[in-house]
Amino acid sequence: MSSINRVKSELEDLLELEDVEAVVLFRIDGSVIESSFDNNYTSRKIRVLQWCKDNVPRVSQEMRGNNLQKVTYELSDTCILFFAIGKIGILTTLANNTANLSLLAVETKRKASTIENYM
Amino acid sequence: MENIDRISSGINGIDKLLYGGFIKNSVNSIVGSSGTGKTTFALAYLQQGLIAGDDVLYLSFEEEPKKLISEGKSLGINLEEHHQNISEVIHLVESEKIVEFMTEILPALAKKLKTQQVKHTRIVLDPLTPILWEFTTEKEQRRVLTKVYNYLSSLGTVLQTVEEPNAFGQTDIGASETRVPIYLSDTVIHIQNLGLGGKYNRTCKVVKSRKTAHLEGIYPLRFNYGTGIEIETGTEHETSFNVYLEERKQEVLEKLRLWSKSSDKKQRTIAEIGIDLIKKPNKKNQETTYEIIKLLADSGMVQEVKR
Amino acid sequence: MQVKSGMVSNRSLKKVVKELIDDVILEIKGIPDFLLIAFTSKYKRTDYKRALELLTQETGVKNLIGGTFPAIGVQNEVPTTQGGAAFTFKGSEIKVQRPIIYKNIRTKKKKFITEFPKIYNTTKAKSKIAFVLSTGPKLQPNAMEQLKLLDSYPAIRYQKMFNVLGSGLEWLLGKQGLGTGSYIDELLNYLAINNVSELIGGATFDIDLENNYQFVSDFIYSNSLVGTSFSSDTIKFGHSWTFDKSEKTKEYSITHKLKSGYIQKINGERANNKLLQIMDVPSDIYNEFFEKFSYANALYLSGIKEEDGNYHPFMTANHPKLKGVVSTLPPSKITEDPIKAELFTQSGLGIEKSAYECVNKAAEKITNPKFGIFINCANRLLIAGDKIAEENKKLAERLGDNVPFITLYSGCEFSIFSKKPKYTTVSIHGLVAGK
Repeated sequence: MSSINRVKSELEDLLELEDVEAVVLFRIDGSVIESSFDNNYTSRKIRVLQWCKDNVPRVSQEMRGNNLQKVTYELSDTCILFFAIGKIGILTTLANNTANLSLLAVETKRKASTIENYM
Repeated sequence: MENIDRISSGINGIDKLLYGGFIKNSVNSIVGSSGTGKTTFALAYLQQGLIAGDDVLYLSFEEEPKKLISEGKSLGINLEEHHQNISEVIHLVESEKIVEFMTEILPALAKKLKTQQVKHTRIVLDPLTPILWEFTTEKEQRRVLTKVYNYLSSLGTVLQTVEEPNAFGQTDIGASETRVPIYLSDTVIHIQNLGLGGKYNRTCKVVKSRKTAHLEGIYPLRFNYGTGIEIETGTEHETSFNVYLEERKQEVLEKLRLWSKSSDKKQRTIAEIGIDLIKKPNKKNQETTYEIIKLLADSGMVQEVKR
Repeated sequence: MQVKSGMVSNRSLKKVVKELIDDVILEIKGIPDFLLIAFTSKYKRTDYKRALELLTQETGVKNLIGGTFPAIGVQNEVPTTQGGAAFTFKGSEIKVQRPIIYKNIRTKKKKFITEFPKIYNTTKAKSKIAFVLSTGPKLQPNAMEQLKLLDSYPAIRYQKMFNVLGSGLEWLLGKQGLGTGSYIDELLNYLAINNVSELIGGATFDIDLENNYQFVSDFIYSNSLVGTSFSSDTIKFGHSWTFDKSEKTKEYSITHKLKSGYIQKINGERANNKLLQIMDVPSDIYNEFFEKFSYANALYLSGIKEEDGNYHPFMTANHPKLKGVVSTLPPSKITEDPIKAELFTQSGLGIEKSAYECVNKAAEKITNPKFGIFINCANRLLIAGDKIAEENKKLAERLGDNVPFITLYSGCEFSIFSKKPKYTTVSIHGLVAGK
């Protein structure tokens, strides 16, 4: 399996977790490397995804500057987890606001380290 | 709700977003950065005009007609199939002639056509951006465009494409480069290439719509062989669309009830058919119901029947 | 002695099992003597069944026990909440008792408490320890409605009588799957009296209090207890427990309570409001939190001081429907007099520190660790979040880089230390085997 297919498979795993709606692997400049979405398309989700894309460069700068592994945003109806993948990527998990963030963070961290190995 | 004459955009899904299509004799803008599908949008609009029997005029300010025709073909928009000499319809306005064309030739042409009482015409300006570069101040742009839009919209329905500034992947619909055409347009549709993947790759949103309501969401847009572009309106806003349909239905029913008491036999017949159709809608295809409602609500319907 | 443990995370349990077989179990030469299998909670029962069938067919393992947990960890890996882990060994140094299964353990304890001590004591080996996994809490939709009865005036006024009713209700709720406190505490006491001197175990669990399963061979059970015991003349089994007692904040007195662990009043006032007041948590915020998030997220840690100066940890849940507080205080800790309790604050660092303390104590008489099995409260996982990986590193740090271990994030933890039972929650219990 190629690296990108492996990455895709890891994202699909995360998407299967309860309350997860979208998973996107961004390059630190905001370009999308790979993504995975649930079947339920909503305008809300795309607004949040667009917000993520626009903010990834800033978030990644903050993460590198302050040596942060994880940044969490809790918006009114959505939770977003940003996990650093080495110096090049940001794994972004979007979940609804009832998601168990602790459990989600455990698996996202795990996936982030797995994906880092693929890259 | 005001009863407005509309024309189909030719793009799957857009008519639904606009509750029935573009308003006749309006100015409509498709705003998006490079590669989002603006020209494909315009070509599909042109094709729909040819299918509907409208007169069409495509003013290209960048691409050669041949290139545009072949671009359309690659997505299944075969303009030559609908017009024997399609290159007569698509004109390239060269950059050195833009100022003269916009200030003198186009207004004169419009005036002349107006006096000849041509059919409803679909006019495409693709892309508007080189024009904006020639008239650098907003004041100038406003002066020239207002005049041109007035002439063109009296002839038919205008669709123009506007290049959205795109710096380092970030787009900006509110940028000064797009401000004047957006301000002067009746409808503005924003298409984006977010590059997020899947349904979230390319999106479409109606950001402005004068005289009529529109669906508010951001919808997936995809290239589609045959119609060029397709907007997936999905089920998210079915409810609001149904509310709109219901409103239209009541409005038409009221009119038909009046007609059913009319002394004119033809009006009574239309009313009888109309009421029957509305009371037994085709649940499987709400679009059909909508078309029927639109048709029955048309004030020219009686005249048409009489003819 | 060959020992292996490994973990795979994937949305497909079939893929998880195939990789566990290839990369962990088949790494053992010959048929393993023991296989502990843990899967995370959110797969379907049929998936577990198929996975177990594949495992037994492909590996030929007879002594397989396991269960479902919200998360699982092994050495050198970030724990997973979506996958499975296998821990396995083979060698003449450790004798493994054929796994046992007791169905409907909450309501049918007698068979277990009479049979198990005999099985445990068949061997006279120098070192032995029982290993048990039992069903954890599940919540029926009407459970809180039933518990409301315990808030009534007669239930508070006539406590002795209502202790019986409380036990009855507990039995009823227990039958439906609520709680572990009462039945595990009772089982451990019986076992300890009947010469089961050393035991370690935990409850299979699902964070959302839905389904949790136990496995023996390729059979899958709910509401059951599965177990085995290890014995050896050459390998020592050290075990220990602890919890994050880094910070005590406020004291309170449990003045009205039932044997079932239900706290009616604190400092003489209705327990629910009073505890929130002591914790300084506005009830509307807590209630919203309770509704929105899982039960396990809304639990608070307290401790009661014991005679030896140590603390016994327990959890409280202020369910918005109740005037009292549901606690995990075991019946053996509930005295007639008011019980003095203290609120504790948990932290990621405290959790790491306590994990190290646990493994350190378990391994204190062992110079050459061969493996470890840790039963770690799922609530600690929720507190630590992704920092739980640091806790796992602490375990590896003490055991040694390449020593295999498995961590099961459980619904409750329990042990018997030299015939002294210990049923706790929000704790970590650890077993270290070695020379």
